[in-house]
Amino acid sequence: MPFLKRTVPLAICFLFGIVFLIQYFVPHQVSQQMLTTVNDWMLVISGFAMFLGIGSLFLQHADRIRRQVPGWGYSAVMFAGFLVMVVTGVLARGKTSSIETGQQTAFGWTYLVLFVPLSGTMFALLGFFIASAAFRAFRVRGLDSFLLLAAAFILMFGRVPLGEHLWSALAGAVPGLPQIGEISEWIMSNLNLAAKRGIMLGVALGVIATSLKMIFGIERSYLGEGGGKG
Amino acid sequence: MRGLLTLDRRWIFLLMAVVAFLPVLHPFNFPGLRTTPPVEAYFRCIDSLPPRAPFLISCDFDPTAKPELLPVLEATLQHAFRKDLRVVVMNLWPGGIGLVEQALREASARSGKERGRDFSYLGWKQGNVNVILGMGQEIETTYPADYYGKKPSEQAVFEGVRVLKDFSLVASLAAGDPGVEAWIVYGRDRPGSGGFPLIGAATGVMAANMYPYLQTGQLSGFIGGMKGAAEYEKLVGVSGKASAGMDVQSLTHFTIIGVVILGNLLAFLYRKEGAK
Repeated sequence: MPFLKRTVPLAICFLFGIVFLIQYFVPHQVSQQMLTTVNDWMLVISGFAMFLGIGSLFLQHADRIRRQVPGWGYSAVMFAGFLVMVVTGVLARGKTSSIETGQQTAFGWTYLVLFVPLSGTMFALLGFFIASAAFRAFRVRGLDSFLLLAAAFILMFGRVPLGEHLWSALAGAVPGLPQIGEISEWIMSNLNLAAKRGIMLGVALGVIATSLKMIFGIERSYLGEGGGKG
Repeated sequence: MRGLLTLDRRWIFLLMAVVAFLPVLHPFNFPGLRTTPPVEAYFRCIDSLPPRAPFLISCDFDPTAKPELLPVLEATLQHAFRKDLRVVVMNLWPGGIGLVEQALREASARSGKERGRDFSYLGWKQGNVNVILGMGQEIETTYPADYYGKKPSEQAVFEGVRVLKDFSLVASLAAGDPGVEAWIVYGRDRPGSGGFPLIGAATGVMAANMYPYLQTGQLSGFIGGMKGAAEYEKLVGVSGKASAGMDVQSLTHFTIIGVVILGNLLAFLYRKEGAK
């Protein structure tokens, strides 16, 4: 059924792409109402996307358990965790504390005692890996890497009170030496800003080009066809 | 000494763990925290609002960003309640609902504020940027009821507030996308939005991306990472979790500087030795 699988999605993409590209710049009441209606559709559709995601997650982990691949126990833990959170969440109607009494619900307990610390731990691991990677890989091999290292040191020094305190003592001894906080702020507001703006403009141009290719049916990988047409 | 070049990374992990735990056992309270212009601007934006001005705080983070952004939320709520602003809080990320609700409940109880009259919690709505777009059209269409099931139009806190531009100030505390940039593109800068004043806070890794928006004035004030949060706590006059975290951050930054210098020295020494 190439008509339903290809032509209809391409037509929908073209129609909505063009209409809402224009709509963004038209603050007329009709245009606003149209956006409100489509926004409601989007909210409903994105709700279905969540079910699709959960279904895919279940299938993948169920397959790991069935084949007993190494580490399949973690998949079992995923199912157990999902079950506990969903059951407590449904019973508490998604509330971490009772609306009437303010008392913590079972869902609130699992959220605050399990989910919050576990999420924090996952993120905190980054600090350990960054320290290890910095020791192994952050080497001065030329002028470029020296400048990068110097900027990193200034920012790390200037972004903590201890660094500012130690630098203040140095600045007191050397007349005219600016505070480290001022230097790091200058790096962020000038060197960083210039580089970031260049990157952002490049990304924005790329997004515009890709969007136009999708609207006009040149880029079809979202249909599962793989790659562009031309 | 050469063995250090191939040091088991678990020794580095152990060093970092020890350094991070030291201030927990014995707080050093390092002096020297100075405030920076973006944080001062964030503070001024809230401080200059007249009493009863409507102020929207969008909490676009989950527990992974708790150490950096929850202190900002707590200090912002305390600041806003002290200024007697009408505060509306919402989430664009579902993972943060419990943290935000708890922070709001505690801050409002401390300040003696009443739900519905002084503050409202809208909670989370599926849809990412579409929520922002929808609120730009009509808040009550997007959020027919708040977190506690009450219609916005039935609450005094929403008096004169129908769409986003009716807020005197909007703040996005963000750990990713959707976050500050989404509020700029789909909220503040959207044609017909009225260009409401927007301030933001973001995690340390995202902070560098926000400076272009600060320069253009699309962002009126900004707090970056835990250091920024500590600066804001200092301006508000509270001793919060970010200020306490500055000891750990100071020591870990210096440890990383130390291991990078050590790694470079060793590489330099043994490169020369190898050349001979």
